Amino acid sequence: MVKNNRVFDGIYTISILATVGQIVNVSTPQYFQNANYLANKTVKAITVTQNSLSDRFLITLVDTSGTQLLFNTPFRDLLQTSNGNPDQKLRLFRLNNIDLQRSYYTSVIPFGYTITGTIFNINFYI
Amino acid sequence: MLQPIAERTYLVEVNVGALSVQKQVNFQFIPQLEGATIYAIQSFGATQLALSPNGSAVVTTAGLSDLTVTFAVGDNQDYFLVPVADLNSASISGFIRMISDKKLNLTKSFITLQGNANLVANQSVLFQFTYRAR
Repeated sequence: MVKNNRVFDGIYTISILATVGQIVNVSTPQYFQNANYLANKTVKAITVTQNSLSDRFLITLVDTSGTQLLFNTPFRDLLQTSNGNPDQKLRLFRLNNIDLQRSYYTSVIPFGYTITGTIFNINFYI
Repeated sequence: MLQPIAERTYLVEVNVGALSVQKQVNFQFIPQLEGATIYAIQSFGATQLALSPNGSAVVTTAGLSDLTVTFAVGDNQDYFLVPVADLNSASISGFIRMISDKKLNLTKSFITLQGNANLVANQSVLFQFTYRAR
């Protein structure tokens, strides 16, 4: 354990975009992406950007060997609001070899909810 | 204040079922957490997650105050009647409550309904365990 201040060597951001009118079904894994930029790296912190549905997403991160590192972490626990929220502490991790092809988010949105824009950005601090 | 560096986390759901004061609801067996060393625990309410992964309504922030949780290590109740609201990061300035490294016996751990004024039957409360694998 160390104090809540760490030095980061870089930040890798993934934008989760939705086509207007896209329907998101409950509990269907939505995989992050094919490019595997986080292999052989250690993620030290994670933040996400706020959106109107921030209480309805869960994030699961899996490493390159298939081990679940984070299982159903509530999106909102990683939230850093754009104008700064003094009550929200940066969540610190030591996550090696995250496999973005196996990592995903799920939603608890009522069945058939229609997304109307950008879903969120997720930022990995390495 | 020190905060945990999470190596792994796991979200667990406990459904309160029918309401009655002093009712206890045990945790389910979670294979991933069996024998794991747990060093931080959070609780989540509806402010953090509108619906549970199983589709149940989630206890409100006020409802968390109606609940306590007891965590067992082996047969010993090492953490006895801990207010669930005190594990809710949003209610404690964003902090995560840390515990000394423990191998919790979840099937002998339980929540207790100390009251039910702010609860609704069949709501779920969510716990996130930060742990190291065996």
